[in-house]
Amino acid sequence: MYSIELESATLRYDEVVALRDVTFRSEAGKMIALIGPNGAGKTSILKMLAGLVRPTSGQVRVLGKDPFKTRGLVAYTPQREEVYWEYPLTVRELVAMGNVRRRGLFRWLDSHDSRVDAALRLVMLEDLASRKISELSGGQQQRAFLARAICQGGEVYLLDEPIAGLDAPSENVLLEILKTLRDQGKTIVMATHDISATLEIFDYVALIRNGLVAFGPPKEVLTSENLANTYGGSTIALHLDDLERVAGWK
Amino acid sequence: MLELLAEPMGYEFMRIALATSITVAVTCSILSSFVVLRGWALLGDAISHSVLPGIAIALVLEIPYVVGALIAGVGSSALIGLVESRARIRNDTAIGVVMTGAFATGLILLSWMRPTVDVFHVLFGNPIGVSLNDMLLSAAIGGLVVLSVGMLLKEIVAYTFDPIFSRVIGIPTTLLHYVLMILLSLAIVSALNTVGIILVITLLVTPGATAQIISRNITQMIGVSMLVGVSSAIIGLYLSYYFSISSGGAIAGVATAIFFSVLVVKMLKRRLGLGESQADHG
Repeated sequence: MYSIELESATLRYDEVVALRDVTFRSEAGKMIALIGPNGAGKTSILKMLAGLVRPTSGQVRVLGKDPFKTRGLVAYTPQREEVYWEYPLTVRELVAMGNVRRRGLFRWLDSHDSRVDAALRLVMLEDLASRKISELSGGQQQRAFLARAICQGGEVYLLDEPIAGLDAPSENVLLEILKTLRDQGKTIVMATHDISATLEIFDYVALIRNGLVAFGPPKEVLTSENLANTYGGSTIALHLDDLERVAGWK
Repeated sequence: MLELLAEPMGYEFMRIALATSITVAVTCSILSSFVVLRGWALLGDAISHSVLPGIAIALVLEIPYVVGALIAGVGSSALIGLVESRARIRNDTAIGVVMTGAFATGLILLSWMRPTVDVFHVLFGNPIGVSLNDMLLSAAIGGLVVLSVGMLLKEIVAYTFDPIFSRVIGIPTTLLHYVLMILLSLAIVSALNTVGIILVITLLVTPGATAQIISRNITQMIGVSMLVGVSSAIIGLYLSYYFSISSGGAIAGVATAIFFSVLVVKMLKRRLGLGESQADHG
């Protein structure tokens, strides 16, 4: 059984085709990077996998099921800008949100649960557990998000642009944690518009530009021809981190 | 001093006015925290303005005005969502269109019907004209809001902080959203008599905003918000009694004054280095 599966998935918003005919699949215990410029449809793929939107045609399956029926097994981490970080929550409370469906009505988040502690330990935020979330750096905020997903106990992790705006050390810490989760058998799907050498650690890379340009192991897929087809422009240097700016997409 | 406080309480209408104002303040300021954190200030304003045509239509159909106001309030929040997604315009634009349109409809209906209801009181409140029935209605609404928020607190916090995560983890977010819209509309209806539909937004925004300045967590924020709301209601009502000024205006004015006082104190503390030692943001 595949952990995630897209088969000829097409997604339209009114007249606009966000994604056309995307097909790829992965077994569990793999890390998959969705790469492409902004507006290429990476978030749309994540949203279909998360059961937030249905494909207009084609099929999407997660853990062998309709994504709308996998509640709790899929953990979704939105882009950092999507939430209001001045919200008066401590790191511990944010992580405990992963427990929200396990507790009955009239009961507050149990932030001293052992799952919360374990998740905080895994992302190395134990020392900052009682900080306000507004006092965290970008990398720490991202790790707190990840800890919430771990506390939730999902099998599939969907992460939207988790490394955007992070410095190299923070990025490495985050990717190390993702590797640990992969080794525990979790499936990680991460969207990113950055191309860097760190992509080598992924099992699969999907190049996205309103459809699938290429899918496979990074060494086979990250060719300059494929990247040119994804980002536009004819010659692209791999060592440049921010291809979008160079290619004039921003 | 005690006499000054006791004198107005010699009148039954003042006792009812005070009890109702406090109830309404509690109701609104509990919701205020979420209105502020989710960025619903303008949406709350739109709902409150939309209540006017709801009342007018209820008068025509001779149904209880609460029912009309509730349908109009929830309906307007749904309409805003629909306009936003279908017309592909920004949320504040959709709110502007729906809010003024609804308010205009209300004014047209009321001027055409010439009802016995005093429009000025609906708009700006008249707590000393509150009947016993109005007071009981406010109490019932307040009870419902307290119970609902108490029951769903962690779900409401998760949803107002991160709606996408909440939906993926399996919280019925659309249902929760409309529950919150219903509670907001009810809170506005309960405030009709005390501060009126124009100034109710003060009670739905300012207590929460004040609390956010000084609170570290959400439960503390809700508590501080209630304290600000209730103090404003009490002080405002006394001011209106002794100075013969609009009570809705006085209650809203006191809340605003508390907000700026807290803000100034916070700024002074920070300047003098007395604030809690906070790590640099970033």
